[in-house]
Amino acid sequence: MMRPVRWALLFAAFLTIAAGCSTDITEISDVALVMITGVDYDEERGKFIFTAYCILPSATSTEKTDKHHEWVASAQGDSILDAARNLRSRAGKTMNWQHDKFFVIGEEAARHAFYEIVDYMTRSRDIRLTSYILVSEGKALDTLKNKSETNDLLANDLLGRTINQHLWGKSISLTLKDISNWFADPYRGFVTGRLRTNHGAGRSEAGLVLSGGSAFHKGKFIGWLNGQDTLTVYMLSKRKEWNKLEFALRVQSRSANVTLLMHAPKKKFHFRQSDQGPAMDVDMNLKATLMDMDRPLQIQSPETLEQLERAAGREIEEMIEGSLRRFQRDFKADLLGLSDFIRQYHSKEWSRMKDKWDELYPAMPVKIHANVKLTIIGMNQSLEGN
Amino acid sequence: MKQDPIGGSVANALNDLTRRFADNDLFVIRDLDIEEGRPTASFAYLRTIVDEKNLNRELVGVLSDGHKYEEGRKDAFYIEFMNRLGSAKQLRHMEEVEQFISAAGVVFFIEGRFMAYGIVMPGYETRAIEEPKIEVNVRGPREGFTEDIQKNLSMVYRRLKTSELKSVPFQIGRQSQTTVMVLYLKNRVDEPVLAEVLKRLRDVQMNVLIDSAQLEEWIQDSKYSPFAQILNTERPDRIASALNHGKTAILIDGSPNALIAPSLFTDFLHPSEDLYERFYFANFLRMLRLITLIISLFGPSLYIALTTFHLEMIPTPLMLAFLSSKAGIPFPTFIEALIMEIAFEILREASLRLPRVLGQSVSIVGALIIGETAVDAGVVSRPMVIVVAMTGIASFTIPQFSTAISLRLLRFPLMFTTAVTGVFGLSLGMFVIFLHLCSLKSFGKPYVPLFDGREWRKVIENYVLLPIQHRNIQSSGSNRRDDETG
Repeated sequence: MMRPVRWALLFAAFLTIAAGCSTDITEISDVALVMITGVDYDEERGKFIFTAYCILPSATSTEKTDKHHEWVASAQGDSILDAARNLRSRAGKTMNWQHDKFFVIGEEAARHAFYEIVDYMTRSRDIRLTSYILVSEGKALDTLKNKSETNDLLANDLLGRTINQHLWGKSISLTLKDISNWFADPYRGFVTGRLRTNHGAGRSEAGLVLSGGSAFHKGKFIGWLNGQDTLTVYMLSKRKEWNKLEFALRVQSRSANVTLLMHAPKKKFHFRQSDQGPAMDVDMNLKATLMDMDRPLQIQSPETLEQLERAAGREIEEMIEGSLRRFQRDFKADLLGLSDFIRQYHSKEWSRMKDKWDELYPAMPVKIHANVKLTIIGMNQSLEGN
Repeated sequence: MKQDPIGGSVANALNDLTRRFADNDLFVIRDLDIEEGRPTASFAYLRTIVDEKNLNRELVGVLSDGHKYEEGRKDAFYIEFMNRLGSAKQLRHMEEVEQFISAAGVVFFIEGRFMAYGIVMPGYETRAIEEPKIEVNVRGPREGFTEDIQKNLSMVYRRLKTSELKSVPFQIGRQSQTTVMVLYLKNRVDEPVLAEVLKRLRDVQMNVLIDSAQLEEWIQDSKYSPFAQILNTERPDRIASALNHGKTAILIDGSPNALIAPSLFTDFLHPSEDLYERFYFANFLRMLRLITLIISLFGPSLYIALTTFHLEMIPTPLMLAFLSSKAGIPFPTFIEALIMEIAFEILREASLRLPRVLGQSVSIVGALIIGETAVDAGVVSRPMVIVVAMTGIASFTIPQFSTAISLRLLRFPLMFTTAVTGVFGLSLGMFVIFLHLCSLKSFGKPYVPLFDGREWRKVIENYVLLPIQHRNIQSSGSNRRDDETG
């Protein structure tokens, strides 16, 4: 009699580890895949608004279509977690953040609650450190309600644009990892993506534009950067992507307008102590490809080429110096990470000056020497022939 | 065992035999000479298993060739007759006689002799030598073993023309008295392994031995392991190559599969064809088979782990594809996988058991109709069909059927552990299987060749096929380098 009972108990013991009993299981069919998250902050009421752009399967698997249903849901709460949890009251499925590539922070939230947001994101295990953080003009909620122009999923569209940033350089997106690395640094600032809605003429629907940058310093949003300034940041601070960067440059030389495609910029930073205090020189070497010109130029002559190269160099120097002026005087924020360079290579000087960095930086002269080399001029000597 | 010696009296011997073969319709005694009503020269055999036609023809032939059957010259007549039939073996005990007759022999008794003469004259039909059905090669020899051990032995001996090739016979099975032959190359064989093989064969206790699989079960090292530890092959070229590697081969009468001992896990993954292809391609195939081994063992489990526990490990575009194909599927992934795996096993078994022509249509019906309809009806998801089909096909690339089925079987417990704890359970299962494999031995040799700090070259050669000049024939009997193919 005891024997069957013992076997039954043993069997029951096995049942406890049976597959259905595991609490960790998340079936894909029960998942709402969050692909973009928006965070807004209402300063007056002290409320966070958490918006999730989710992907749901269209209907059932039997339809031979991979169309997905996009769904934007948002909820309010006293803290980010509270808002995020309140969001679950609206979702019939388990929200999954593991494939979230973008966090769009509303302008107001970036100005007033950025610390809280970054803190939440780095703590949460669901959120990937490789997801990009963008700042939207206006509310993130409104931004996420836009449709993508390509009819692709908005998340895919944004990801594609982020990946293609190196082809024009006028937009920068930082990952959560980079931001949390630099966040704690009181000396330097950083620049990440700027997202805005474009109600352009001739378009029926508003589209999203990822262009320019949003500048942060001491953990707070300090202002927007235009495309040129962003390009400067890209050229001088995104070390990992220097080799990939390409950008177009319009140069005037001998009354002709020439467009050059610049690439592979190599840079060397030099730090020196001058009478007026610390100063920096940046030597840049860029290669250029001649892409178009509006009238024939005698480019077979070395003088013309040299002149063109000099003009391009000057153009770049002016562009960068203009941006640097804005960074130093208007923002008073070291967006290029010059402080990092000084700390790494001139640690003695740095330890002396780091306490006064906030006063020294805006006044520090930074001299740019851009040396452009035209490597490819193309086949056409001139359209009329010679 | 008590043995009855042959007494010298034909009549007594025949009485004894008649008693032993009582109630046997096939048993025949024919007398050549009778004196005083008692037979003085006779022969006995079992009809139908002996070539009776030939026997009669030779008897008539001896008589008509002018050999006088007369007093005083009878012995010469008997010897002439027996010589015409074949080589005679001297039998001294009635038990031997009984066995001999059972094994398609004709036994002669002559008055006054304290022995009988046995000649093997099988008259039954055996299958002709055909191309191997299971171990199919694109290139290489095309003959396979048959059920007749003599034919099989001839095929091996033809490939190794040396006196070093030794054969040790065994009679196994109290009733079946099946001939089992252990082959080895004296100068290459691993002596301790050979001794172990012979010892184990001597210890076999069974009534009827029909196929090598039964013997394999008796002599293998670990009886409860899911993995086959003795390689079986139906290719004589593979046996020749194994003998050259210092292994022993066991041939069993009545079985077209010979056994090779000791066998390593890698042997089960490499078909003999590897030796007949260029080594680049052979190594590519070996690598491919290692991959398919992993797929066929872990495929469904990995899918379960990824789609129910570790969604973050799936790339986003793939996740989007999964998302749409998994929507509306009524079963949890684990149950879905279980259903599909079992359905696949049913299909495989059905197509195997049915006649070949019908079998193909079953697999087509199963794969196309059931698979497609199940997906259309929303019972299973498309990725699951892909995973199960991929796993099934991967398991077919494992050349040894016995290994392929053990992998297929182990897939199920792995699916269970994975469904409970995700990749953790999968790696736990993987770990247990790996430990088990490492603990296995085949006739005292480690089953999985792993680096132990010594003889790394030999270990490598178990996995990688080196160009022929660099191949080192493994043999503990002789360590000389050799430039042979196998």
